Amino acid sequence: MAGAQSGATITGQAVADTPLTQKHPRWRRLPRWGIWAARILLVVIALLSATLALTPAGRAASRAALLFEPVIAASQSPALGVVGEPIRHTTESFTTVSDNVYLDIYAPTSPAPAIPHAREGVIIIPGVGDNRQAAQLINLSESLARSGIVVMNMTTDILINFTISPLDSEAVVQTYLRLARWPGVDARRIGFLGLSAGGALACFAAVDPRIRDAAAFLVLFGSYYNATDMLRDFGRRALLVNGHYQPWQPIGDPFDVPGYVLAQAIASTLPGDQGNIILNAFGPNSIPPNASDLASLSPPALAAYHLLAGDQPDRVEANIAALSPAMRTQLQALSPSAFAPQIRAHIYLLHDASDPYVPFTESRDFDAALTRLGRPHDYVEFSIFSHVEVRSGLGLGPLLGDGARLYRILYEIMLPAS
Amino acid sequence: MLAADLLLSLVWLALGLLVAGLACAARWDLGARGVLRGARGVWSTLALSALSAVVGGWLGALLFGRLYGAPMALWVSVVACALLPFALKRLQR
Repeated sequence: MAGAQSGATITGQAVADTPLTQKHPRWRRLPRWGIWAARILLVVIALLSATLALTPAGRAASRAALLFEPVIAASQSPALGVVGEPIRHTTESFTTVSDNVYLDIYAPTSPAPAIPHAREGVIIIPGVGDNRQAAQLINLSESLARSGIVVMNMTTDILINFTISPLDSEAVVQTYLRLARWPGVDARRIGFLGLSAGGALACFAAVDPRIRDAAAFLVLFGSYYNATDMLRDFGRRALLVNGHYQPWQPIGDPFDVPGYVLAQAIASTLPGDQGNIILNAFGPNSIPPNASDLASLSPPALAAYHLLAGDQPDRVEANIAALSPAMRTQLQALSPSAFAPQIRAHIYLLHDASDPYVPFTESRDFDAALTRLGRPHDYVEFSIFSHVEVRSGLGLGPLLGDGARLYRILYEIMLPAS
Repeated sequence: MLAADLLLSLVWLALGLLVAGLACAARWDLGARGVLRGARGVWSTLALSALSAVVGGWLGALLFGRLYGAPMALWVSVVACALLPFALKRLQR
């Protein structure tokens, strides 16, 4: 007890009451440093947990921390399973003038908490094709819902058919309005997560006057910015990075999905037989056109074919110049670059630096345009994703580097909920 | 739902017991403060901390959502363990 008594001398008036001077059972006779360590630990626990619970920034930080594991591991988090909200998955569908819309809704079953007395909503547009049963999408949706966010995954017949159309903007807006009416959801706390081609649709909808000022954020992950530039990259099979060309090859397995999406856009401007030749060349079970097929194509269609096939990399600019006005108009209409100045929500651009679907330079171009416009935005390049899915077997290095950037984005996205 | 609520309460209770253990080690418990003697002081601290953690946890769940039950349980139980024995001792005087 000698140490304890000398400590009592140091602490002055508190000596009379201080527990350090009292006799304790053998099991409680901790060294003096142990007692102080326990006290410091308790103070740290109290301050940290109070900050995490009582401040909006703390609440967003804890949400992001709980979401980090399921996002990076692409599997359900046991911690989120225990402390998270109980959730329910429902499906809905509705029809717009141009399309059928399918919603997968993941929502907490409990009412919105007293503070902030509203829930955040996220609309996920998972790109072209039917991704509704994709394991990583379901995992992400469930994890977001368990953290108290109402999630609506939306797709349409047009998207399922590997096509992007500005007409689907109405489907996105209607989904937004449905989510805004969801019990407990605040319309000003709804954001979009556009994956791949879904990012373009999110941009089309974000400039609609009905939601333009209300949308909280746009996360565009692996999305394109300018369809004509992307076609140019396809034709060149190379990306212009910091003034130098670096080789780039679009995905071919199971088929050239982005090429097929561009082919759909181009084919819609061509007569049926020519459109079919282009579509068959790049679609699922692709049939390479023979010489007579190519001879039957008009000069603009042939130029578009060579751009998509990437078999004339040294004639890219000539082929771009040979595109018909209808093709140019269509590509322009499908480009978020045409709408960027009108988007008011905060934009988060995320891209896999070796993305084989959409060149990462698309997001760099979007980033540069938003910087020029002085619009609030963030741009992050990752190496832990393959297009929009988490890679498996990641080492510690990429996880540490990208993890910090991913956590920051998650934190900012979680702020409206907190 | 009931099972999930029970599991959550048990998690908060466990956090409360952890805080009580630290409070005893830190000599901030009821026994160390001289409010109660011997083992009763330790047991009372465990009960106080566990109860305050569960109450804090549910308060956090109602106010901020279930995610925030655990941090609320932690700080409420630390505050209860640190301040209540001190306040009771003052009252005894």
